[in-house]
Amino acid sequence: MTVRSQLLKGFLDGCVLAIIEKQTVYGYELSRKLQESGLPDVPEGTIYPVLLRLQKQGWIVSEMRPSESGPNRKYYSITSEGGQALALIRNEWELLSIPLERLLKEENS
Amino acid sequence: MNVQDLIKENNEKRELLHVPNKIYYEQLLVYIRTKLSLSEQKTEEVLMDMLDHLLEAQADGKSATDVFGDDPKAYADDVIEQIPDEEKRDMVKFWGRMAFQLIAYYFIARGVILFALDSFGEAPDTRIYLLPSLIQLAVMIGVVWIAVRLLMRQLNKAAFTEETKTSRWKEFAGAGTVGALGFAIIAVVNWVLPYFGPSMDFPPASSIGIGAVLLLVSWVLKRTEWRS
Repeated sequence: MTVRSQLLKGFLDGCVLAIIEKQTVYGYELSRKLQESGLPDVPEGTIYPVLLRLQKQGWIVSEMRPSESGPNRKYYSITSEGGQALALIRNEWELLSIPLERLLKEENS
Repeated sequence: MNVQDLIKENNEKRELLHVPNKIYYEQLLVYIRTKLSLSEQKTEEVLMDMLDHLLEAQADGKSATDVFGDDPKAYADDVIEQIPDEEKRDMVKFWGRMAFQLIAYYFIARGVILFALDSFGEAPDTRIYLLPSLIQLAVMIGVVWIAVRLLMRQLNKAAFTEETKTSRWKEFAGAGTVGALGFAIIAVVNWVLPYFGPSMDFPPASSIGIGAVLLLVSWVLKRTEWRS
């Protein structure tokens, strides 16, 4: 497993939460947004274990409703606990990304 | 949506998958469904989510491997890990209903056999012996319980093996052996079990009647549960 995919595994829950926080989405839409954000090699299906876990923790809820194109779809939205969890994850990410950025960035001066 | 509606919709929608996608998805489905300890409702919901996703991806020209990765078993294990276990209450309900139906069939079969013996000119003993009957029922319930679990485990283990003529044949032979062994155990127990203890007259017509009523009750219970 590459370093990148390991890191991503740890933060995938946070990435999914961040997308759902911006707007309610259904599964296929969510995976497309994830890929469009620059993660084209994340298999789309990986969102389903993540969505199940987030629902179990009460961080997101789902609701069936008709979509713009017709058929009923399951839309996910974030709960207030989910919002708090996302704030914590964002904080964790900062604590990690700032020092890593400083340490690993190529010296160009 | 309840479990029965989800399963029905899944069966219909699955027909829209192209062949390689269908094979891939059905392997996932068999593997995940045969884990009996998982919540049936949650299992069917996530299977439907995955199917909807795959159908949409297929319309965009993507394959099941693109969507779920090239290791279906590892993916399925990831999903299974996140599906909550079936509540104890629902497990008891499920097996309770199984037992209830077996008792109903037991009464009906008993009545039919007694009628048949009677029409052949034999005068069968129409008394029912409480203790031997309870033992017979317990053995039947035990055999069905073990057989169902064995068959599910077999299906679960074989879910991702490439289907060949020999593997199909082995599956059938395995299931047949389990079934035959189960029947043999029940038959032998009935054969060697002596009639003893308290008894009462229980003519064949009442036996069939009560069995039919029990079946009806279990059916009504199931229907009302679906609607709730």
